[in-house]
Amino acid sequence: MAEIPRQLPADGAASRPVAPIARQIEHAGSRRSLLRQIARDRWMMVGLVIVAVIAALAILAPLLPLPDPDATEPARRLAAPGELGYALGSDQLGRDILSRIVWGGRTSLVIGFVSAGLALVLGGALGLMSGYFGGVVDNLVMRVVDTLMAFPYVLLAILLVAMLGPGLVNAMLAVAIANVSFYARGVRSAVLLTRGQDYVEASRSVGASNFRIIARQILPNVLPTALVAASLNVGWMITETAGLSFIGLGAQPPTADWGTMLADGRAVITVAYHVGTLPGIAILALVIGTNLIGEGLRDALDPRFRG
Amino acid sequence: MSRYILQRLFGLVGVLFGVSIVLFLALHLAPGDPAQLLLGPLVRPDDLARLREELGLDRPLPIQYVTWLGHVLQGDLGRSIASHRPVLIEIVERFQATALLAGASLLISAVVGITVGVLAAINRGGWIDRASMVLALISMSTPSFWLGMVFIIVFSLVLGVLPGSGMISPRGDGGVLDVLAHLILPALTLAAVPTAVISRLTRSSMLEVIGLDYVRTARGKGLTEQRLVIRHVVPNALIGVATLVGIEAGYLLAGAVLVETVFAWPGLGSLLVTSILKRDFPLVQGGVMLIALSYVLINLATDLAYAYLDPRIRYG
Repeated sequence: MAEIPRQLPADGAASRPVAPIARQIEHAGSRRSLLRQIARDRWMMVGLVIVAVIAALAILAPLLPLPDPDATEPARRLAAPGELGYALGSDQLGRDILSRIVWGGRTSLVIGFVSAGLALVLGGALGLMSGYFGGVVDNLVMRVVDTLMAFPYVLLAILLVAMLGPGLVNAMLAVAIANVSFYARGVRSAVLLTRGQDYVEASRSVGASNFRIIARQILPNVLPTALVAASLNVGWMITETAGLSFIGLGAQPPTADWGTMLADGRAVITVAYHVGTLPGIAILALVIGTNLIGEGLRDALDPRFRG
Repeated sequence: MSRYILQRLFGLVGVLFGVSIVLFLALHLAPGDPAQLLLGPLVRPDDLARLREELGLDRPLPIQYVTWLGHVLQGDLGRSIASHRPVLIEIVERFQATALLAGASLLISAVVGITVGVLAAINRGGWIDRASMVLALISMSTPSFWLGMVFIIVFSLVLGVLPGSGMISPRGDGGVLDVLAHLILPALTLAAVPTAVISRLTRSSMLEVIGLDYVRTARGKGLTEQRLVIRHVVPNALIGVATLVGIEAGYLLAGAVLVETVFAWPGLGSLLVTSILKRDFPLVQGGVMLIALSYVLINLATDLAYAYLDPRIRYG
């Protein structure tokens, strides 16, 4: 994936838009050695633990002894952490911040993984077709991709969400679509490299169908790179969607969502510091966790970048 | 080379043309009518129709597009529906504020990022290396709009040393120092992610170059470590970094939206968000085209700089 820009921590090829270098994923070693390698990677373990804890809290939210995240209590608004029985304080409507953070974790987790997956599938499919079939299809797809890439993609996401209407699902879709062009380009260049290999030529000469060649030869070679890119992309998707919620284009009240909670906090920043800062720490932790996992996967699957 | 530039410029016109079409469709096919939003829900139907006619919204889309394009090619971006001021004046004012913010952030992130990356690489495995890379990971994962709030709390509300909102003080003189003071916090906030990204790339490409044969030869020749790093390693390691700095420049210009919102910085990004919500078509079209234009120009400049810095690369 040569051209996923900032989402990729830049030790990747993000820095070299000119002439993406051939990258072969070697299927060296069995699955077990892959797992062992992951287990040895301490940073990745840290990431896995962070994400696992957040995921467990999010999944168990309904079972935890937490107050209703949407129950307002104006008389007890803006309580500081530890005050009036609120472990992490309350916001301007007297809602329990701890409970809202736990429930908000559900939204952020789903968003991160679904939008990265969506961008991967859509962009990957376009890139595959474009790279494999070439010709008119390639030209057409690449012109659209070039055009989309001329939009700085934060702006593209905002435009898309304005078009679809504000809302969490639309924000997620917008962030995913805004990233499709990067995946399309990256997968296309990986396909171009694989397509010229002798074993593809060999399959073709014994009469394998296009579908078979794509499924059996191209995809297995392109997938690890694309998956690594997607896993490095999850954190960025979470931040971006929270950002859209922050400016009012994402989750709508009263949904408990970290981005919206930060916007609430910005409104009362002069009187209560905790309302905006605490949910931000949750976003930070989740994004650090997903980035650590992504980098661990990259090191394990894509040895070229091991540093 | 000049042929390459010419080719790229032609391609650029094509891309901008594509952008304008996508943009036009996105805005006009989206639900929401600027006339309706301007007049409110209780308007009489014939008043609405009159305003729509005045704004040209009653005409078929292709006609609206061609009319708009014709005017743009003559340098006329139309008037904002919301403020009635010429779009060009509105967006250029705001664009300057955004460019100032993005430029300051780029400067910070290039200087800090490259310095940290070089120091980390030459102390590979040492505490400077480890500390700075952990810091880079955290910084890269930080949502800018949250970091901005933390900065406001710490430096404006608790310590009271820097302003946390706007571009000039209400009672200030609006002089250079006043603007600079307002610029510090948003610029640092916006610089957090690019600084981390640049420092990581600098480190890894330094390490790559340090391992090359010519560096070993130079060391064998008896060069001092300092001279070796400054004269032989850094220049080659920074070629790729220069490209990244260019990419970041383009990103910062548009990515400033959230930071502008947190700090009430009067930039183009925040104006565009409110204008999109108001369906102020002429303003959004003009503003997005301006950002797209500067974005593609920066990318072109980056590619050219890359070829200039690395003699192995020749476009032709």
